[in-house]
Amino acid sequence: MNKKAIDLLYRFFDDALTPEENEELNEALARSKELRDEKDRIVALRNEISASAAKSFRPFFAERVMHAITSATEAKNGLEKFFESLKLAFRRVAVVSATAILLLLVYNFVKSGDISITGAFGMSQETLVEVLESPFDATMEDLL
Amino acid sequence: MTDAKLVSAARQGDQEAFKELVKRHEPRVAATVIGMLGNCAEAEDVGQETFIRLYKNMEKFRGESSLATYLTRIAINLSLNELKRRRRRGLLFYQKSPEEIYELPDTKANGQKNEDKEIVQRAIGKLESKFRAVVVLRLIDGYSAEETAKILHVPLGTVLSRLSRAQKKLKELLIPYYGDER
Repeated sequence: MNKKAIDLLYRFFDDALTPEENEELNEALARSKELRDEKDRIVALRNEISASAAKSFRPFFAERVMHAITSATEAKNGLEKFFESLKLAFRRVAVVSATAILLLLVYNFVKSGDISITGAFGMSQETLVEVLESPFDATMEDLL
Repeated sequence: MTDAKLVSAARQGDQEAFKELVKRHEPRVAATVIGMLGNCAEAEDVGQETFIRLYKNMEKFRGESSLATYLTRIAINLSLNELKRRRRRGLLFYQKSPEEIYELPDTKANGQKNEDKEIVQRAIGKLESKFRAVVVLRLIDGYSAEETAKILHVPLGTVLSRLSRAQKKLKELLIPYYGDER
């Protein structure tokens, strides 16, 4: 069979051929029985394929889709509620902690009468000499 | 009730309206997905996912294309993803290749309709996914070649050449079953 005629035949089913191509195909069909048989085979194949189309999924497909949507929505809502309550719990802990720290700072200020960082945290100011004469040095001297 | 009215009702939370849409478009989605993946459990999962995607993106659906085309586009993309996943799983775990999964029976036992359907579906399953997609959209769903090209985002010429090659391959595969009776 003529390759060009075969190509035209396949395109004929899916694409609008130009008038010249249509004429060429018709002439080729008139001439060749083989090409006419090929056309019949293509028509039969295409009919067979379109008849093979599935029409539905298993029964109650719509119900299963709705169930999946409801479950997903509930799960999403559940997750959102969980994070919301987590946020609320952390907010409470943060407020209580901030209040406790503030009270501690005020207490230290009042007790030491010193309005400074040292006073606020209740720490004594260490001098450079005190730091250098650390107990560790003494122990090392003893060891040596 | 039209699709547009059902979509509008579903957007306002009417579950029954959405269920009606699912029932109405199940045949189209089933034809696409089962055509692409064969009649298997994954096909039903992909079918469900198609409608779940529609539900989640209902606000984004502007009605520029018909709802059927919108669903077909989702279904074909999800099916192609599923085929890629199958291929990856096959490579990783040495599972059967698509050609082995869709093994055609040795002979055609009888002329029953369901058996014919099964043989054609298996033959389609032996095609590469890009050829399968054009066959499903053009010959099963009945979209024109131009619409198929738009859905798959490929040029019209590509669709036409894939269609022609796919039909030649299918003819080869199916000749042992039907011989010259077609």
